[in-house]
Amino acid sequence: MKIKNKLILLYALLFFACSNEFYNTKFNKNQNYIKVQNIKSDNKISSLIEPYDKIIYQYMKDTLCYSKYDLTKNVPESTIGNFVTDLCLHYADADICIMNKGGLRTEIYQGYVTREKIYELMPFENELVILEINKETFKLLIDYIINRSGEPFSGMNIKSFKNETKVHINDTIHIDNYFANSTKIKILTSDYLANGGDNMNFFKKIEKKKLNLKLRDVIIDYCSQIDTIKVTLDERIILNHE
Amino acid sequence: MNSRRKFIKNSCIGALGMTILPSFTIKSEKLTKLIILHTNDTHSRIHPFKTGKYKGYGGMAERATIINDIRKKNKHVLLFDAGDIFQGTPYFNYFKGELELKIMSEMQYDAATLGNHDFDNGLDELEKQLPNANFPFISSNYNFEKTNLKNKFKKFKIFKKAGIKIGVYGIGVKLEGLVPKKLYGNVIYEDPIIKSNKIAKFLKKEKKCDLIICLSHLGLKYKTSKVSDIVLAQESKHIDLIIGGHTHSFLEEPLHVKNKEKKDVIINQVGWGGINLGRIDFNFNQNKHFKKVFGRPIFVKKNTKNA
Repeated sequence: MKIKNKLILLYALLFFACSNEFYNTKFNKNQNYIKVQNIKSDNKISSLIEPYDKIIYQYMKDTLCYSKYDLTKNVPESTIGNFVTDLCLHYADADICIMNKGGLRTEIYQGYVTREKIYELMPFENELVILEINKETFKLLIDYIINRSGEPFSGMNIKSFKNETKVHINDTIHIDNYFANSTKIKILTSDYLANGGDNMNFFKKIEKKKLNLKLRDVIIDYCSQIDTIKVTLDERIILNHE
Repeated sequence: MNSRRKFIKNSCIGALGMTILPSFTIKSEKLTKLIILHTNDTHSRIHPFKTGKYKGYGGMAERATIINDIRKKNKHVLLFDAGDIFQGTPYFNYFKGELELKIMSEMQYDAATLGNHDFDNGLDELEKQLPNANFPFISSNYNFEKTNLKNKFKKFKIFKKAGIKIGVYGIGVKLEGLVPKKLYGNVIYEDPIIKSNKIAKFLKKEKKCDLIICLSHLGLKYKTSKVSDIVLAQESKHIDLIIGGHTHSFLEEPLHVKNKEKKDVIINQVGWGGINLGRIDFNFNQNKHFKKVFGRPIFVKKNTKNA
């Protein structure tokens, strides 16, 4: 680089470092970001929002229950995933519930859980459906979960090692034993995934039994019936492909 | 390096540079600054986050303050969004996107492209909401010919700032497997690389644009061979800047990727939820070539003392 260009660059750095255009320009200790603070709300925009707030604010502020812990997203297993899929099985006659990480949109933090938080967790209008699938489709589902480094599920456990995958239904029944006695297994999921959403293509052609229950309504109903959310990681999925 | 120390170091070197600079700049040319501001995946976040690690960040009224201030201090500013304006808070469930688009219009967005979640209420509802936006939606690789939204979207738009021609177009992500078929109906997804190269060439060669910007909702990059902003940049010849979205990637500064002709393509993306606002400054010389580019995200954080 020519010396002139170098100096221009340095000048640019000085300009940006000292420019008040970034407000109280301040470097975060943990990040090299330029952080902006002390922003006031724009009055015009605030008054545009106000009438909409009036319609939904009180209803959304409703406290449904309390969470002792942060319910977070993680792989292969997550507290938020366990929470949602476990509670769904209370609302339907099914063996296994499967959801997708991408569909659970936020984490829930320790503290009071409001209706608004559940809307943010499940903003979609997805409905619960039941699919009865055979052993071949079930195997595709297990492969999918493993390939995706885990997806939220309830009602089974998966131990997957380099050369072998073991699946138990309800913690106890080995999947081969299960299919020795039945041809189909009942899967509870959302209509979005049942229709092949998030590339769950293996569900596409399976007949869907509608429950006329919205996933979000089910979560809100469950939360309003309990005082405190209790959920733990229970190693329902172990992936070790080393 | 400790960022504070880096800051001090830069300031010191900068100060040194300034003292020497005048003797070198006498012959240097006058530069015109064009500022590109951008958001992506704002997901109906009207208010700042109330809980969690982003507590206090974001908020559309707060973003507007920053944008207004930058516009006040600078003549040539463009503001874009790279899609997924919709879905994520009750405001979308109740008002279907009306409030998001009205606020963005008030903020004077210049253009936006479509994200997958902007289809979440289906094509009919999207059509109903579009009049709430006073800015164009640009979509170059979604074909709406066989839908009710035919002719509702621009394939590109050319902006002029200080005599500089800025060609902007939009590239969307594959909808199949991501959006239920019944919601996107007869929208045809066309190959993003082919479409992108064709339209970028058209804007550069035929329309003689000085700066080519692609608003993309493809996602920054993937472990698989799935087409992403990185791939789009590598396969391109004429794109100068890709403003990305979809993968909610927080970049500390824009990425530089070499295109087919070994020239730099700048890629930027600013997380999600309106937590920060992207800002990229281009400095054009009198021949309308940009020489210096500088980009940093601006974090939007409410003044909690007065909240």
